[in-house]
Amino acid sequence: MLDALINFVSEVLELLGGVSDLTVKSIRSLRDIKKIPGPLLEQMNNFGVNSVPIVLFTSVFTGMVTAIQIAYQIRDYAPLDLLGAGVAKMVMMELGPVLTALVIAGRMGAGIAAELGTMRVTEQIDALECMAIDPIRYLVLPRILSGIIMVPILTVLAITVAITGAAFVSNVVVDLDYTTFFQGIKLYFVPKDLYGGLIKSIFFGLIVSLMGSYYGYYAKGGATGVGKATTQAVVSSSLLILLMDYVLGVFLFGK
Amino acid sequence: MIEIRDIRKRLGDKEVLKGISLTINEGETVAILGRSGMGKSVLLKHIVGLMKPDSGQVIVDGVDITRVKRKKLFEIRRLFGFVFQNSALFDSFTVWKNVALPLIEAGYDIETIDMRVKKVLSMVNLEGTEDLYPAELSGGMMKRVGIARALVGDPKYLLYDEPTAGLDPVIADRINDQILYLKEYLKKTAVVVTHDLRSALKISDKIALLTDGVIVTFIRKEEIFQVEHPEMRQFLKASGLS
Repeated sequence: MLDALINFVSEVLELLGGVSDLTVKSIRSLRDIKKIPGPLLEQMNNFGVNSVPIVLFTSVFTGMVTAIQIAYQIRDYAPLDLLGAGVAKMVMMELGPVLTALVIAGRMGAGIAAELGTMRVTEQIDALECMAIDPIRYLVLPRILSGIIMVPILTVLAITVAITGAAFVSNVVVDLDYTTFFQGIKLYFVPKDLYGGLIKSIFFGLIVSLMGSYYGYYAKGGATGVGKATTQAVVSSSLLILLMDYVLGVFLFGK
Repeated sequence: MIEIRDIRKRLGDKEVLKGISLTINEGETVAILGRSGMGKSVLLKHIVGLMKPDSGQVIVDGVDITRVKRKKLFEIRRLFGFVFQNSALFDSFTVWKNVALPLIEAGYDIETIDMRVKKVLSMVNLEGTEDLYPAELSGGMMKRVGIARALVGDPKYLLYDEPTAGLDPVIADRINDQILYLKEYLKKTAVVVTHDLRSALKISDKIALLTDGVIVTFIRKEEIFQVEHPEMRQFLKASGLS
């Protein structure tokens, strides 16, 4: 029991140390920022633009089911005019950022870990070192920056699509006209709801890309090691997203 | 000149290098011979600073690379071309971009890069393969692209990690011819890690035998038949040379 606890604590400390070290090295490599735009655009396309379909699919159904469930819950207590406001607040503050981040953790986090892990075990990262190319600057930094930039953009897209889906379902299933739905949103809109959600998404983007990069960059042990790194990246990103969601929720909306 | 002074390296529970000392003079090709798992590749990675020894020094042109900062280490690395055992080509890049990458990152203009890439590809007889991806190449071609990539920055030192491993004897011999041609044509200093004695005899000037983390003999290749060490006798016998 004691051994297991000691192992767990040492693994957590090792993870914290490793992630902090990678973060510091990434920040240092910002000195060569003029060489970053090419790889950054490539990563923004790989992990951002190519994630649009799955984000659209997730968010439209999230919006629709949120509308139906809020309508079901408030039916006996409050006017349905509030439905739009309820959906918008739920989607902007919580569902948009969190679900987008979890979907991206599965796609982008796994992709980064698998790609960097394969490069590590096939000595491609060593090859970069031998060519005097800093692998952190060339591989890791563009991925981290693309996560920080693309996840908020995808979150805005997800929020928009989710609200559109909710409006459609409210009209077709709940029989609430579009004007009333959108007036409800307008009436109760607080900018903090939106930017709070976007602040969350910046942190989530950092978590997903950093954890994917960390597990991939330090992968070892051939194909098995790459598979393990990929799983660890997705699991740890997902857990940290939920943890960070709570911390930021308290910080942003707690008072 | 590369001087390795009493380096030791432990990986996990095993001491892989137990006080290695070796000097590689300019213009020489030195083969480091040894069975699999004896620490040959680990030694090669120390020479280019990919690994740091637990103790000892690696001195390249008078600079101890085990003690320099990363920026200086990158400067020193520009003196090296490294040919990896499994080529280590970037699978998402074409042959052209694989070879050109060090020059692109160094900021050369596109005409110079293209001219240089075509020149080194022709040196390894791979003209016309610029647009192919690594997955479309044979094992021998991948090795030669690896050699072209190592040559493109016009390095002073060439390091080969098992250049003929995993190739059939005919292709392996062609790679040996290629290395020999580069040695005679470009007069580069080279270190070749290999477990293939025939290959070592063909391409090197000197042979160091690495066994259990120690260099047990370091001789000119002409002296190989006088070596009495049982490991070398085994290599000679297994290669059909005694």
